[in-house]
Amino acid sequence: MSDMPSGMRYATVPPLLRLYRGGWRGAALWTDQALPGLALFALLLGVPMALALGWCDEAFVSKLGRFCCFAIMAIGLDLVWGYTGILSLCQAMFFTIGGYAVGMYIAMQGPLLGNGIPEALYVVSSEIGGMTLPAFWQPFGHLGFALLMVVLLPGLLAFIFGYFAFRSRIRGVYFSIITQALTIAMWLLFCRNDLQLCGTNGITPLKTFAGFDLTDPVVKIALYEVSALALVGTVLLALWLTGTRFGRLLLAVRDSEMRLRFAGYQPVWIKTAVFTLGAVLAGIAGALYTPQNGNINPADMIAVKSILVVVWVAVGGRSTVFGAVLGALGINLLYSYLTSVMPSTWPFVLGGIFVGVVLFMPTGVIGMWRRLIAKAQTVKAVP
Amino acid sequence: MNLRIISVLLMLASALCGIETPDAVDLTPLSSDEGPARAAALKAIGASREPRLIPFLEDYRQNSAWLLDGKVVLVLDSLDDGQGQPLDPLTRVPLGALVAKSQLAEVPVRMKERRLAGEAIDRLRLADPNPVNRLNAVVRTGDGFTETARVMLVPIAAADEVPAIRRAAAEGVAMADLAVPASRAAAAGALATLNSTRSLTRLKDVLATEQDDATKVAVNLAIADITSYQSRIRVAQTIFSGLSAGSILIIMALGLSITFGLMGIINMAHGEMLMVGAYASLLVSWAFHAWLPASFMPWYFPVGVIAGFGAAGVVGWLLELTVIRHLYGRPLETLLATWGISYLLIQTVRVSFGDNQAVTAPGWLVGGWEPSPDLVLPWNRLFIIMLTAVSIIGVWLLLTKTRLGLLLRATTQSRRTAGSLGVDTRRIDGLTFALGSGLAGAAGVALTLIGGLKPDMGQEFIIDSFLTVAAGGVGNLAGVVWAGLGLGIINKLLEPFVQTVYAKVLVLGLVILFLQFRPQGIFPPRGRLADV
Repeated sequence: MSDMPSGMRYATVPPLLRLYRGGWRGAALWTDQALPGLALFALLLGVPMALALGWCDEAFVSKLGRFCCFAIMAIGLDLVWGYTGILSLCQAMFFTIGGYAVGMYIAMQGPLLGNGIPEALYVVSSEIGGMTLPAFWQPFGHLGFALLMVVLLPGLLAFIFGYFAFRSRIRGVYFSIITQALTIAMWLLFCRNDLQLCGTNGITPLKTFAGFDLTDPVVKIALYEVSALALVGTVLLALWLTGTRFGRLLLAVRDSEMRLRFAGYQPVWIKTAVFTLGAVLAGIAGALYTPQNGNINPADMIAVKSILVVVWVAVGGRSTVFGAVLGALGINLLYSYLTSVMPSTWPFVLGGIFVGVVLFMPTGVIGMWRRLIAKAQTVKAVP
Repeated sequence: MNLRIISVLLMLASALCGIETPDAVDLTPLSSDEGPARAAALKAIGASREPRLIPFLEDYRQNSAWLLDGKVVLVLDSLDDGQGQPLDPLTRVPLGALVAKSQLAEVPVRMKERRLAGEAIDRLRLADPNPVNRLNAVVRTGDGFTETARVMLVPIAAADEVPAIRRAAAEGVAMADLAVPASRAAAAGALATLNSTRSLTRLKDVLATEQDDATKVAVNLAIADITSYQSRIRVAQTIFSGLSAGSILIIMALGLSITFGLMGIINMAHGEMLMVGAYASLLVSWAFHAWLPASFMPWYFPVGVIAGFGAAGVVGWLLELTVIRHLYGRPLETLLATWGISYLLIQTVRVSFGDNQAVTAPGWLVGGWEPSPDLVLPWNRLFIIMLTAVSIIGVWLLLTKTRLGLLLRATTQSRRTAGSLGVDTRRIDGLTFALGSGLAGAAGVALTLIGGLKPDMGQEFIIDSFLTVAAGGVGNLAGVVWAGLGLGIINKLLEPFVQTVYAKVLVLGLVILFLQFRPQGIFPPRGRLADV
């Protein structure tokens, strides 16, 4: 796993600080450092402007907003997998749990049926007559509590699960498989009607959030802006974090956990911390995603969804923050394009991307690009 | 015994009289003017053991029997237009041309004849040469609880050659005896010794109206006995279904254990090897259907097992050659690449075969073995268990007794040392991978016996078999076998108490908990291997 020194070198350099200086070297630095920053600005400001100018429609902006949420989740996984080397296959589960926390709040805002039961819960319940609102739904009527739960539920679950798994030194593929088992167990549970979590239908329809009508175009654009802002914030957080001493510890865990332990560190806490952080980021992403998507249901956490996050990161380039963003946005845009043009080919394209990236581009798009740059720079430097 | 003697005598009599019909019964007396003669004829029919007479008697009760030229024939037409087609009473073959109604003489059927014909039908059914039909008839008669039923069942309980039928008849006799207060206690005792679950409702009905205390005690005892037998049966059934559920898991996990444990390869497409095997057996069954006579059909299954093993083995070998070979030492990448391949395989099969397919299990695997009354062990599940046993022994023999196994273990322990000693490690890798995949393919064929074929049928096994391997200890065949059995049985034991989904969740939780305490599996490796 020591075949990616470049990730470490570049991740610590803040973007936008280096400007174009001309020549191959300048171009390379430009694409590597300034372009991602510009792309983020474009996401924040350019997209609403394009909408105002009529270059894209509102549905596209809303879609892009959801993809920004995916990118946040992907950054979380990148920290856990790319930087720390823990392949977690339950990222979508944390995403969905975060989504449910917010979804429950929105559902409590109405429409309500029966004795004040949210419609989503009411329609799947078998005891319509004398049904009262389950006690655990009550506090989700308060926005503050719901938002707290967005962070707390995935965070606590990840902390407890991660701590016990890492403490017994469950590593590598064992951890991957156990996290996948966890997702499947959780998915089976969420599908049950008697758990009062709206069964396989999930929470739908979602109408108003804190007094805002979620079908209103202005609210949709605002939600997009919030998601884009959150993405930029997450990128900055990840860039900062990976530049710190803690970030170097993450890489150390990935490259030689045993040596780190012998050097006196306790990897269990480092791993638990980064796993929890990844889960919290996924939870926040899910919370932003749910009001834009209009529903959240157990199908959002089937095993494939978590593996897809891994693919985004792998394609973009792991252990690079922008790689995760690029992969998440790029593959989802490709997906939404292909499924509208020729739906039956998508599974083959996805499978092909999978195998191809692993076999031929192990460091992803960004890793490939950096290798090219490095090559160009050496050629330049030699004469 | 009497019935048989009579039938033998009748056969002799008919042979002597030179009746040309293949049966042994003379139907002509049915048309007699005298009641006693008709009754005697019906009794003789009832004693004849000729099942073809049952439909005749049913038609006879509907007044469809007629006398034509001194012989009894069937005319099923309504005769409203004055003519009808006479049929042979047994074979129902048309006898000559249409005949006018005037040529037919009435065969008289009165109340008494109807009743006697009904009894004759019952007796014929009870004497059916086919044991399965006979057993059904005995059970049905026994459920009548009547004195007539009792009279018919007593000789069967004493003399039938099939034990299960004797037992069913004895149950019927005892259940009829329950109706008589004097014999009630003894009958209850008899039912208890027979472990008769079928009589449980009847015993409870009797208990509700019983006045005599001593009899009450006897009936209560019988009920308690039978209930405890029932629960023992249930435990045995649970363990058995756990065994058979665990069996598929074990074959899958054996394959995984070879690729994952011995070679350090995470093959997420292992579930799809199962699917490939299942579809290969489907193709074999289609080929048998298309090109071979129907009599070969029962034998498609063994061929299917071999084809499934072979097809999955070849796919696995190709997979190793094209993808996995380039990813050794990078387990997480292997996991991702093989997941992508599983996705591709599922889609390819979905596109070419559609979503759901099913194979019909061969006849010799339908039904079950009944080692004790009411405890039925289906043949298909027994076959799966047997296949598992064969696989385990085969893999063990292969690994420990053959040259390939030796080379395989050497490569696993130290690839470089083995390579420097002249082992072609690349070839060994390919063969090992093909073997592991082939086992999954065989599991897939076995799975077609108990479920349909879906493109994503392997997906539901992959996590379970990974957990089995993880719980059993990587690369540890004995551990895998025990873990597979344990998981299968625990799952089935939990199911009666919690719903299936919760049982599954609980088992997943248990495995995670188990790995907390024994991260290296049931039989952890010792020495230098302990921290790889």
